[in-house]
Amino acid sequence: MEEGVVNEMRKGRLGDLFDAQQLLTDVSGSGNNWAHGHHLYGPQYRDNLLDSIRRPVEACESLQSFLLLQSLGGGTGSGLGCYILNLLEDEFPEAYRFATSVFPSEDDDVITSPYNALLSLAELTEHADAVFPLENQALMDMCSLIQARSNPANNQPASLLSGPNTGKSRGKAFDSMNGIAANMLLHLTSSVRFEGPLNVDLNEITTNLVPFPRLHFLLASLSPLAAPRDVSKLAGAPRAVDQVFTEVFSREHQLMKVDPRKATYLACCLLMRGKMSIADMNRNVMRLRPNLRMVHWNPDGFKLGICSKPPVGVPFSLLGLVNNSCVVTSFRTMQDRFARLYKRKVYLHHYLQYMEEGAFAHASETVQGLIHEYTERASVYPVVPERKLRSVGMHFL
Amino acid sequence: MEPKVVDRAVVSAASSSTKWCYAPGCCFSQQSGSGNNWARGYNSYGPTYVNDVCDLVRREAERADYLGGFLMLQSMAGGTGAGLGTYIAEAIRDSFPSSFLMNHCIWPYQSGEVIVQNYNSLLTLAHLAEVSDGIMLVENSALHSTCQRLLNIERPSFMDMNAVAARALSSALLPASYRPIAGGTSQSGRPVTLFGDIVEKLCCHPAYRLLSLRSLPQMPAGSIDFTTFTWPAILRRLQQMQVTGSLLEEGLRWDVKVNSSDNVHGRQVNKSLAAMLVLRGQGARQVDASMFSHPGLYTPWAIQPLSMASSPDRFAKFEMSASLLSNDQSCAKLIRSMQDKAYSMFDAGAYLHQYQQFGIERQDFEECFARIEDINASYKAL
Repeated sequence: MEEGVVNEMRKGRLGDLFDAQQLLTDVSGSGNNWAHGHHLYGPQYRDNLLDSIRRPVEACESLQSFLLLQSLGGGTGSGLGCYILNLLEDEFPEAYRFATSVFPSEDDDVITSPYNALLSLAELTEHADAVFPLENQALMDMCSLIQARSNPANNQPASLLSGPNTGKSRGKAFDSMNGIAANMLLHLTSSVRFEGPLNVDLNEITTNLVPFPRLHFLLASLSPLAAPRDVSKLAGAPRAVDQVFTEVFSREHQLMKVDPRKATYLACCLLMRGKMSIADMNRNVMRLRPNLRMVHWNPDGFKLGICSKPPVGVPFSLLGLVNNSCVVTSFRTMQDRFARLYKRKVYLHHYLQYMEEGAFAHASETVQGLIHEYTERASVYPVVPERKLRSVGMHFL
Repeated sequence: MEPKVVDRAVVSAASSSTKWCYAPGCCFSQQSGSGNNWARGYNSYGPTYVNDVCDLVRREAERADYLGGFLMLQSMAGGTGAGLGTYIAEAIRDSFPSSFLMNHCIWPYQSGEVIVQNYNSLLTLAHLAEVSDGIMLVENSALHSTCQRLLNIERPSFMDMNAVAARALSSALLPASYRPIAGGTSQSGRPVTLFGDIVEKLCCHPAYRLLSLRSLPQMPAGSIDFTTFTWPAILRRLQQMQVTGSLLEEGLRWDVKVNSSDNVHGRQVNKSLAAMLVLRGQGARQVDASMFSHPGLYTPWAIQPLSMASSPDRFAKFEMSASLLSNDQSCAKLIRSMQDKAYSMFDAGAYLHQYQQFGIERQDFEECFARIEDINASYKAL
């Protein structure tokens, strides 16, 4: 499936990075049909998929995790992607599964995307260890923010995050948006690849940011978005560092169209790249924490990481990964759009060719349960102040 | 675990100006870390790698003419240092039952550097309290304040903080010989046996094993040449640090005095079970330090709580320096605040599934909390 896409990648500048034996394609796609991807292509290509995955796994010294990049609106990415998630859970249960999923935006052009997205969301809730949701709308807004800040007359690209040629030729439509998402992933794995005073491995992210097994949706935010015109001014000035921290918590820099400031933070992780010290991070965390609504059992819930190597072109950058209850608004929207279609049972017959109708109700229930759990766990005050029996020890004897 | 950290330590030791470096083949590291998960370090990596690590330890121990004991340096907030470290400590205790084992543990920042640090620190402390002979707790926030306020480093990095901790530890453990408390003799007494004497005199009760370390003076390297050192000033400040239980030379509360009737608003004197004072430098043997043996500083049932040692050699270019290792109540306050946070997280049931995945159930948490309550209560009763 998606032979066109894969061929284009192979012919592109980074085509040599990919091992030709790893690529699996088929002529026809899934027709934006989740059931087609999950129940038809999945079992059909199971052995080939297992082979391609097992080869690099066996070459590894120590397998830590899998990164799954998919979109939830279509058929292949969501359907086959979720099938692969199940496959990884069966075959490699100890490795963590991180899914970077593109959630459909408000004005999505795929009509069956609510079905696809909700079915995938149910699967992700049950089988993934952590999900980094992205929304096209948010990425597009960030690109236009970069454009607005860049000076078209200046020949230098103002942002290395969105890739070259932003000022001149248009480039391909999704290049800049993909660039932002790619940067988020690079930042996430930077501690694994480079050294730093405070390393953060990928499994530390799950341990610290996932307090309950199903609440594993981590909002990402990046800063700085656009390299300032005078890069040298940024190097040692503390005020610029503070600016980066403030931006990471603002609404414009989130990779999803939600506002975390209005909701409760369950846990927060700040990963810094560049020549920063723990003192800068601590100072900013102290400064910003009073403005954030933290959940009652985790008032100081911050995990900090520092990697010495900065990204290309900027002296330092910051990635914020946040487990916040504002994702619930996005889930509710998805649930509503799904319900609108499902009430009339439109387009359902395409799916019923490959799967049963009960699965839809099950998925809807799963997502409903997830929304309920988020709202319940994310209360700022303890729900019932009970008197607990505390262990007393033996000293009274 | 932590291959990058281990490699960096070996490389920096080899390239430093002193002649000492790590012997080849004395390091152990693995690719994947513990993910800040105490249960993973303790239950999963512990049994797998304990044999390799114990082999390395045994090799070093057999090479020594006289084994004074083991000193473990670990952090309490993470997964490897805390979890795997605790497992190794228990293994060393099993293989060398009559040797001394001391732990130098780094207590994390109050404001938090790892979200599950409350669980990790309390689990570590509860387990070490059974196995170790003495646990030296060093706070990250105290090291940070020392760097910022006393050493004038505006934005301290971990290298600076590590240097402060290392200097404090070495000032207490470098060779010294005993001397009478009142001073005045010029003969050197018996040398301090490392760990044997410390454990015997300071950690004499099984319920009281937490030590705190205070070291003076702390100043930027550039100011040393311009400072006049006097013994009375140093000893006075050190004694006040002990009385108020503070770890910092600056911002001391001078209104808290040793005679309890003088204290206002119920400000308690920081009571110690025992203390060892080490003086280094010019005139260290002769100076009178009897202010430290005031009975108001110590719990009433302690017998000969103060031991004093001195060495005529300078420490780190300071003409005169003093350090105090004491078994006192200041650690208990740290534990109390961390316990409250751990309780609220535990009641909400947060992060427990991460620990249950590797075999630490609610039951184990409850047991550890009980042991910590014991430690707290015994220190409060001092």
